Amino acid sequence: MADFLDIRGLTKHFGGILAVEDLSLSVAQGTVLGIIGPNGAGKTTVFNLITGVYPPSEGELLLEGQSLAGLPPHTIVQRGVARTFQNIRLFRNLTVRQNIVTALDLRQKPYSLAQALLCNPPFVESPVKAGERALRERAMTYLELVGIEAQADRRADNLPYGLQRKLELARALALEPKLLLLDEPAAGMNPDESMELCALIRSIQRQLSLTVLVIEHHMDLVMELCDRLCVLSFGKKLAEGTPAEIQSDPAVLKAYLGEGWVRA
Amino acid sequence: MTYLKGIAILAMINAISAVGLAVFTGFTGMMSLGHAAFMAVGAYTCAIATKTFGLPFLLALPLAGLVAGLSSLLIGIPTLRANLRSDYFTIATLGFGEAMRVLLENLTITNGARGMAGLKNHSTFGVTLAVLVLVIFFAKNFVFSRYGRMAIAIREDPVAAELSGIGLFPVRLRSMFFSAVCAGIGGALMAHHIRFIQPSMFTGVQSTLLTATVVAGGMGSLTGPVLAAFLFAFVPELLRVADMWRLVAYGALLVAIIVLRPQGLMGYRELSLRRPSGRRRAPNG
Repeated sequence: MADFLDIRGLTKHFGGILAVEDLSLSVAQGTVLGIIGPNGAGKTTVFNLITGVYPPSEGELLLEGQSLAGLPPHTIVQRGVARTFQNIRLFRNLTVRQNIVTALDLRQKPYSLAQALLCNPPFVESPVKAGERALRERAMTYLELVGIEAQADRRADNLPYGLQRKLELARALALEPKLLLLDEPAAGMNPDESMELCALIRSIQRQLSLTVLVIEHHMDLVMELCDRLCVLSFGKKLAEGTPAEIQSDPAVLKAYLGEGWVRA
Repeated sequence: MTYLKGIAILAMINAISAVGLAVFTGFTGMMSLGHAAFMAVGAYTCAIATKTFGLPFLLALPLAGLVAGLSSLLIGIPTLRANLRSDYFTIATLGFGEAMRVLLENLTITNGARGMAGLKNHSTFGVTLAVLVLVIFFAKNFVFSRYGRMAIAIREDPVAAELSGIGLFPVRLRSMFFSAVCAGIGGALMAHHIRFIQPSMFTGVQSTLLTATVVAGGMGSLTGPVLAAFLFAFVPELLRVADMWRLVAYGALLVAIIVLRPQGLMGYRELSLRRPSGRRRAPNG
């Protein structure tokens, strides 16, 4: 059997623009892979291809040997892939807790449509009310995991930015994924906040033995968090290896800093 | 008194259809300008069932809802499966509404443009009120369940919803079916209240009125549209002395609501005896 996540010859073009070209990548279970590269390198496109937002033009995406290519996003989520977004996408008018409950619903289906419509009179105990209560309680464990349980009843868009990022992470975790994709989780955070987030992601990743793909521009976070790195430039894989290898790779230095640069 | 009752019945009929549309527009985030078509299907189904086939009204009423619901699949399956963006979808519903009216004008069983007269008065105050209460009960159970939550998630952010494992097509179709059933029942009650139906009663004007009721009531509220339905039924009546100017006042009322309360009368809240949920304090500050 191949690796946990196996990407083979993945290509995506939008009209004449090649966003991702012949990308092959394999990720072992329980590791953290960082995807870095200049803006417009196709990093988010890779995430969109893995999660089915776009179908790939060519190539294969295998999760535990099963193909994901061409499946709709909600089916891919059921297979155990969850993600966060570069520009936060929360259910803004819902409370923090309801954001999590919405995601929990994927695995926990406490009652049927007929029960919801017919067996839920007001003021009387019902399977619907019991199910909802259980979901609300379960949601708290995910809020505790990222440390925002005190905000449970606030509206999602009233949270400060950093906590919104944590809520989005908690919502992704509530989908009980095997593979977690984080698209710039530390965007807009200062160095202290991003290192704190790094420690949080690490501890959750170990606790739940997740496989994580992370796109990030904060190099200190990337070097600290990732077991391996993949560098993209203009849709192609430029290099792959451990953070130490990447740091001294001449092709990477050239893409990032231009020629004639000497390491200080 | 009969006069007041008559207006109240009309208000409740519009409220029944508006509550259904609130589930689709307010909670699922899909704008429709064709829901009068479902009212028409319900009205004609009920009228034909009682008048032509002699079915009892209490059987014909749910049948009207069911047939209206099924007719929503005709437009819902192709447009929602294609994942039409919201405004394109709205235009499709507009076309569907017109197509349905033309169809009714040309069928023999519906008596064409002349319409169907001599229907019995079954939509009494009591019957209509009972149906309204039932519809609100089902809508409330739907909206405040996991099924409603999926719909709300799609309204809030379709991309995030899809990547939380929620399939857009089935959820949107379910909401549309629910709203069409409500509209169909509303139409059936209307047929047996006015006791005469013709296709021109179910034009874009009626569709727009329903959507305006939901928008004015609050895009995320069930009780808001009920309130708005009553407002829209009674205000023009109060202004009858002003003759044609009452239609201007009606328009001005809608504009005033949009300008002064863009979130609608109730916004995302419900009329409730409990404290409004927005002001609840978090347990730990």
